Formats: sequence, structure tokens, C-alpha cells
Amino acid sequence: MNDLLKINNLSYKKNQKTILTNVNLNIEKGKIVALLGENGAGKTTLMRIIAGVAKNYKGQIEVNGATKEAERKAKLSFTDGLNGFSDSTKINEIVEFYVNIFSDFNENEFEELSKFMKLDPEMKLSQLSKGMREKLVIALTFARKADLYLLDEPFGGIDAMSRKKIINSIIMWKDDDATILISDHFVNEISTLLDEVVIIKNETIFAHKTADEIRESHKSVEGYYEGLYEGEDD
Amino acid sequence: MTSFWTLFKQLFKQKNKSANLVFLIQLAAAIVTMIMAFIGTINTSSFKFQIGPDISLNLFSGVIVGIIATFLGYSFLANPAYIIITSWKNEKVNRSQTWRLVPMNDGLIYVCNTLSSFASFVYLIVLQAIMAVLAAIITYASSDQVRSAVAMVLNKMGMISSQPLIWEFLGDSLLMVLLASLLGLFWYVIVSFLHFTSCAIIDFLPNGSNKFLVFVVRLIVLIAVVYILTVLGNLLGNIGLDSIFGNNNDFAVSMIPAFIDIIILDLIFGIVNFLLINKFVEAKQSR
Repeated sequence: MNDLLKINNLSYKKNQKTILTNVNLNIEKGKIVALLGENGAGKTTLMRIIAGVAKNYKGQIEVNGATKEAERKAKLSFTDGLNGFSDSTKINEIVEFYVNIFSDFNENEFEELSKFMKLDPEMKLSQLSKGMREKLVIALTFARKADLYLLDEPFGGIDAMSRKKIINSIIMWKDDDATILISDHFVNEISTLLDEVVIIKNETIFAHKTADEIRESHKSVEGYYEGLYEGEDD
Repeated sequence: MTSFWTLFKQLFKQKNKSANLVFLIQLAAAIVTMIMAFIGTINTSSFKFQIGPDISLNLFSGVIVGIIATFLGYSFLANPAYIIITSWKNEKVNRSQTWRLVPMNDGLIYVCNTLSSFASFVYLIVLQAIMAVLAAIITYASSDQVRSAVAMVLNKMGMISSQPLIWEFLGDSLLMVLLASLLGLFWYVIVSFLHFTSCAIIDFLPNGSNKFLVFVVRLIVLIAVVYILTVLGNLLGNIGLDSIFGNNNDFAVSMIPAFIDIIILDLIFGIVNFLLINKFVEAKQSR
């Protein structure tokens, strides 16, 4: 198997509350995978564990052969809320940080992305609307040449038109070998992108199916997902 | 992977902004203080700035030296303020997802963060030292009386000591600066220890978001740290360093136990922090 992401027997507790139990997940190279689940199901936690910023978990995680957290961080690009920067930080200062810190950051690609998303490099974080900030986060995330992209609800504050544009851009800019794990509530809009769907329910991976499988046996990915919570399917 | 030096430079650049800001505020405060002190109290044409019974400076030199002397006096406020600001910034970086996503071991990110603050503190002290040297040069160059007084003092020193006391004085001053810097580092390490242990405990306890519980945990950790420091201090005192070095008449030699104590404590708590951040302290969720 050509698996880029391998998760074995992952469990995670916080404040004595189990968030994830016995999670096993393998994702192949080049796939775009939706990570779906209700609020609080553990989608963000799973992404944070993969990204190496959540601690105290049990189990093994491997990203393209890397098991140590520091090595995993080098191979993935995670949508970060940029809270490490003060509100007075300008976009071009953040870009400078990315250029210096991430050896796989491509400044030219960021420029193209930021033009596409109409981001002014002279703008400060405090001047950005929620949607603009999300666009910046996506541009920064995709300007890195990573093996795995973790997009945690990336379209939260973005209007429908921009959302479609960005989704199309993801297909355009994505390397064939790059894998994307994307968690979102807007299942319908991202469904055209998807190769696979992973559902987190009852603290574990409840279902992992290809989008084609779902489309063959259900109306749509959205219909399948909603059905899980109405007790219609599985 | 990001190299230690690359991250260090990035963090140092950030912390330096605070150092420069503190320096400028300190300078502005000194200038304002001097202006306030001078307004209405002097007759400029006949003004002499008395720095000793028979030694005075002209107005210009007096004002410059006065500003620098006030500036240096404010170091006792500016340096602790800087240490508090940067220790707060350190802890923001230590828990920031943005920084913790840097492709590097979390323990090394912590070390890099702490050392960059320490280096930036040393940078601030160097800036202040340059001001002190500047004041000394201006004072020396602007008055014959100062030059003859300095020559007289140096002559007297030469007579009572085979080794010129001026070098001993400079050496002792340098040691005090070094000790102050190490204490700054010690403060950073202890603040991180308090932060990391309380975070690790709060993440473990049920109902960790309860503010009262968080307060109680932090209070208990604080008391425990004070107790540990007292015990370690006594332990280090008992290993006999004081009897070897402490009773020595030479100030530099008598300071050695204090240096060793602080370095040992820095290392102990630094290693514990390294392990805590690697194993237990999560980055704050950032959305």
C-alpha cells in the first residue's frame, strides 16, 4: 500500500474525558479526504495530534515514514489561526516568518495565491476580516510544498463565492502526490473535491469510505453524512 | 527541519523590539525627568553642574550627564519591567500553535525561546552600559576639574594597591552585570516551570476549565515551587561552596557560590521544562 498517513490504535484523553479511542486510519498518497463529524467529535483534536501540537496521546502516527513529532511537522502543513502573531503584524512580516522558518515555503506561489485571494501584503492582521484572515491562512498553508495538508474548517468566515473559488484553486494548486485532509461543515460544497470520506463518531473512526462508494449507494456525500445522524444508514 | 539558529534569530528579532522599546521609554523618561528638574531652577548664563565639592561641569555637559545618570537610575525599573514583559511573551510563544508548528522538537523550541529572551536582555544591558560609558567619557572630556580629580584618585589608588583598583572595580561591575543576567535567565526558567506544571496538572484534572480550580492549582504549584527553591537553596548552601569561596576577601571569588547555585538551578529547572513541554504541555488551540 502507498499510505501517506498511518494511524494505529490512537487514543486521547483530556481532563479525564476520552476524546478519541482506538483510532485506526490509513490514507493513501494524493487523496483528498473529508474528515466529518459533529462539533466536539474530535476532528480538530485528531488533526492537532497528527500535527504534533497535542500531547498525551497513545498510539502511533506516521506521516510519509516520519513518526517523530518534529519530523512529522516538517512533512505537513496545518491551517493555523496565526495567533502567535500580534494584531499589528503585517502580512509581509508573516510571509517573512514563513520564508525563514519553513524551507518548503514557496514565496512565488504565495504571491500568486494572495493575488488570487486579493490580499494586500501591507495589511495588518487587525485590518483583516474573518474571511480575509481565513484566505490568508489558506494561502500560507498551500504555499508550502508539503506531503500532507491538514485543513481544519478552512472556510469558516468565507462567503459562498470565495469558497467556490478557493475550492477550485485547491484542485489547481495541489500537487498530484499531495494528500489533503479537510474538516468542514460545508459538505456539499467540498463534495466535488473528495476522493474519500472519514466520519468521526462515538470517539472513533465510524466510517471510512471512498466518495465513489458513497455516490453509488447514496444520493450524495452530504446525504450520506446527514443520514448517519438520522439513523437512516449503516 | 528548521535549525536552532534560524528559529533563534527569528525569536531574537521579536524580543529585540521589546528591548529597543524599553530602552527608548527609559531614555524618554530620563529626558523628561531632567527637563522637569531644570525648568525654572537654573540661571543658564552662570550655571555650573556640581558633581563634587570642587568639581563642576558646564550646562551642556551637565544636562547630558544628568540625563544619562537619570537614565541609568531608571535601569532598576526598566530591567525588571523588560524581564516581566519578555517572560509573558515567552509563555505566549511556548503555548502558541503558530510557533509550536515549527518543524523542530518542542523542547528545543522552548530552549530557543528562553535563550533568545536572555540574549535580548543582555543586549538591553549592553545598550545601558554603552550609555554609562558615554556619560563617563563626556564627564571626563568636558571638565579640567574632572580630569585632575580622576588623575588624583588614580594616583591614590596606585599608591595603596599593587594592582590598580580601577580594573578590580570594572571586573566586579562586570560580575554584577553577569549575575543580574543569570538571575534574569533564572526568572524565565522558573516562570516557565510554573506555567508548564500548572498546565499539565490542569489538563489532567477533570473539569479543567473551571476558573477556581485553575486558580487553586496555580497557587499550589507556586507554593510548591517556593518550597522546592528553599530546599534546593539550603542543599546547595550545605555542599560547602560558601566555606570555600564565601569568606574570601576578594569580591569576585566570594561570588562564585552564587554563580554556581544559579547555574545549577537554571539547569535543573530547564531540563524539567524541556521534558514537560515535550511530553505534557500542549499548544493552545488556534482558530
